Amino acid sequence: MIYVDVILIVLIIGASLGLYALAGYAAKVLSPKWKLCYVVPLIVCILFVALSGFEVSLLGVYIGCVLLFIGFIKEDIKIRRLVSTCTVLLAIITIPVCLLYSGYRMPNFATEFKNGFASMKEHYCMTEYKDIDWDALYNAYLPKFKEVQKNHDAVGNYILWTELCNSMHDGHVAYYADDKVVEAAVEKMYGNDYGLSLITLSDGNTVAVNVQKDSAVYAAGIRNGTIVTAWDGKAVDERKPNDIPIVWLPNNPVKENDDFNSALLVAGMGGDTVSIGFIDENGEEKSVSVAKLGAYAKRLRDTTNILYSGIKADNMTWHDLNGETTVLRLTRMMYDSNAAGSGDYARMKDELKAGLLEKKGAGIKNLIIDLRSNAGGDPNFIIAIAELLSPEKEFIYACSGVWDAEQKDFAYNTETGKYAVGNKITYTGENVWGDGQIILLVNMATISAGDHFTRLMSALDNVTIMGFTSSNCSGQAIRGVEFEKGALQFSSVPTLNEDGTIYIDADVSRKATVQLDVQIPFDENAVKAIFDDGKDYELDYAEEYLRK
Amino acid sequence: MKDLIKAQLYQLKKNRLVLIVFIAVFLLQFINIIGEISYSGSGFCASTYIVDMSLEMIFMSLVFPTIFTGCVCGGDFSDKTVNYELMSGHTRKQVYFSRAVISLVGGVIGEFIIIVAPVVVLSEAYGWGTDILVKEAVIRYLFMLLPIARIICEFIFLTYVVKNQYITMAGSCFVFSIGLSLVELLSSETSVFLGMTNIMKLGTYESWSTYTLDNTVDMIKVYDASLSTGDIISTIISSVLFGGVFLFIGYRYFCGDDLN
Repeated sequence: MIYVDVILIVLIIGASLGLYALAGYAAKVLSPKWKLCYVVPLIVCILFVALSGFEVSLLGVYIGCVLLFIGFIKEDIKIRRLVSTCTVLLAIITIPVCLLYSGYRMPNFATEFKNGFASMKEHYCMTEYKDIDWDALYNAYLPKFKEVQKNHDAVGNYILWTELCNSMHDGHVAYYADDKVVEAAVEKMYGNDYGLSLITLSDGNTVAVNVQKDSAVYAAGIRNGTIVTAWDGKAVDERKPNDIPIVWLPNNPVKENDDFNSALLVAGMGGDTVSIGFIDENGEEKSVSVAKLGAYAKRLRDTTNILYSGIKADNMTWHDLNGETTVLRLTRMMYDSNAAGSGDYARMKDELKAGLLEKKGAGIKNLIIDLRSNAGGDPNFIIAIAELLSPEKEFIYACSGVWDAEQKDFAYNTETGKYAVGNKITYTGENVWGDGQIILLVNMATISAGDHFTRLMSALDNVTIMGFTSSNCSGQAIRGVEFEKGALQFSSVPTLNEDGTIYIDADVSRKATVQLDVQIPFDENAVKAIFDDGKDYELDYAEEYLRK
Repeated sequence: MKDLIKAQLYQLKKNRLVLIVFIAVFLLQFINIIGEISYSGSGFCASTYIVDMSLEMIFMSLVFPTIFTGCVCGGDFSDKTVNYELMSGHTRKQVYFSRAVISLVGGVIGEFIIIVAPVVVLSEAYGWGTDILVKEAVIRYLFMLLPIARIICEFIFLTYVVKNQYITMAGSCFVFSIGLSLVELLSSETSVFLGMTNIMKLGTYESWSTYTLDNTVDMIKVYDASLSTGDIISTIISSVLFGGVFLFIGYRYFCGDDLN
């Protein structure tokens, strides 16, 4: 129970007991001021409701306050004592009601859905581009949210929002809730743990990864890299789900990136036991039935961390690989609060320039920029780095939209499907790195400003974009809607190409718009290096690529 | 009752305090606007004033209806005019409601003039602007009169309890200073359960901000001034219910009160 409600209940019980004792005295004295005491609880109650909101669980207390008001009207000792007694009883009953009622102080999830959805429908900037049918989505999800509201199910509410957001195939559409709700939701969403994860290799085979050594699957001979052919009586490919999000990763606009993850989710499917078909080390097809070990969410998180985290180092840190190659780690496109507030990244740029010149002076020729799981940030940060690495000429970063004050929206031509183009954002290269080779390591969680930077760098001759998966391809600017216990964000401010088309984001065909120059094959060698030897296979691959 | 209302109106004509307070509050609105214009270096249009400044001004101007109520309902206790009216055959109901009606009608009309005048003047001087539509502002201002009437009912009750116009006036200043604090405290969570918060609900315009990637363009703020049916119904119900309850309590109290 929240403390405001506890205070209200205690106050009303205290006031009722006092008014019970006062009943006789108030009737004896002539002054009607004593009568007013029977109005005070109602006024206090109204003040509390105004401060903390109406709560149906406290109805007993509210009714009690109205009953006490009768004591003001009826100057009768018996009635006054009766209403005081009733109010005490109602207030006492309210305590277990608040403690036991699942809907106590819960927001109205159906109303939050309606408000959030209406805002998204009105302000989302890629409705036509991504072919989103708002009415169909609304009709599909409203009954589900109503059901969730009926059950006061915060976890169910979170799951529905994540499903809805994921169905829009935009990495910038997301719903946030508090950690407890998210943890409960992921346990529910991702099923049971049987001691392994699954992943599909570039050749189409699905293999076991992150296998637990003291598990039944390990005892049966399944190791990292063992080909798994069947899951719970069906071929693994038939089990692969559509549109189930991994909530700690951004949604995937690119279908290929979604497919890369789909086998990961198969490993949580099944009941108390699951049968797994696999090919053992002798090449024979076998099957084993294993019992669940717990919830799969923890292992899934662990597996995705191993796959996607990149170098575990702070933002803007340098790591020399050898005498010729260095790595610059960029976890996000942000520097400090001063720069974020003013948009002035001169200090950061000077720091980075000094770093680049120092490395160059030390004879380093190759630069790997680790953008894996780069969460994005400020476009001014990107411009500062892009200026240092680009040749000495002017480049166009992107274009902003044109605000139509009358329409209260960005000017958009529905016939051509293009936005009106505002100012061009440009930058001029300084060529600090010269002709030295640059590799950008990306993955599906390289998003937003990370996507922007990948796109800008991809135009340069000395840059190679590399990774198991392409960058996320979500580049629009966002806005948020806050709820009582959650928040929704979505793309709302168009970032445009010069012709008014959408910048970076994948359209309805779900193909990557920022292509990889080199797609690192996810094969047996990668699985062994990553899950057995604990190596950073993508970084090693990039280093080897430069050496060749 | 007609005679009592006429007598009250006559008294009001001679009451300088009410006139001075009305003019002072009226001028205060314009002083604030002039201050804002000189601070910002340019004039601002009427709709910008409504969304940015009007709520504080409305709270400030509520001093007028409460002082007006104090004078109408409380002024006649000190010189025992109320006692003489009762002795001359008027019922307590007539004495109570004649003053309540004058307080309500006069307070609401006076308040309406005070809050609307700056909007009209700004609209003539600088134009209406694009923040909200005229129709939306008119609807909001009209519905705002309901919680204002409710607050007047609460002060009618208070005046009949304390029977002293000056205590009522001091109390009103105290309550409105709390009210202004509430604006800060509850700005994100407004309900209709208090007159103050109901005014806040009607005087606060939902907005959302957007921006462009172009650094030369400032943040764009877009207001949504439309009122939902729920807001309208809850405002009407709460104002009528709570206003009625306070008038009733005041009446019941006055009926049983010993007037010496």
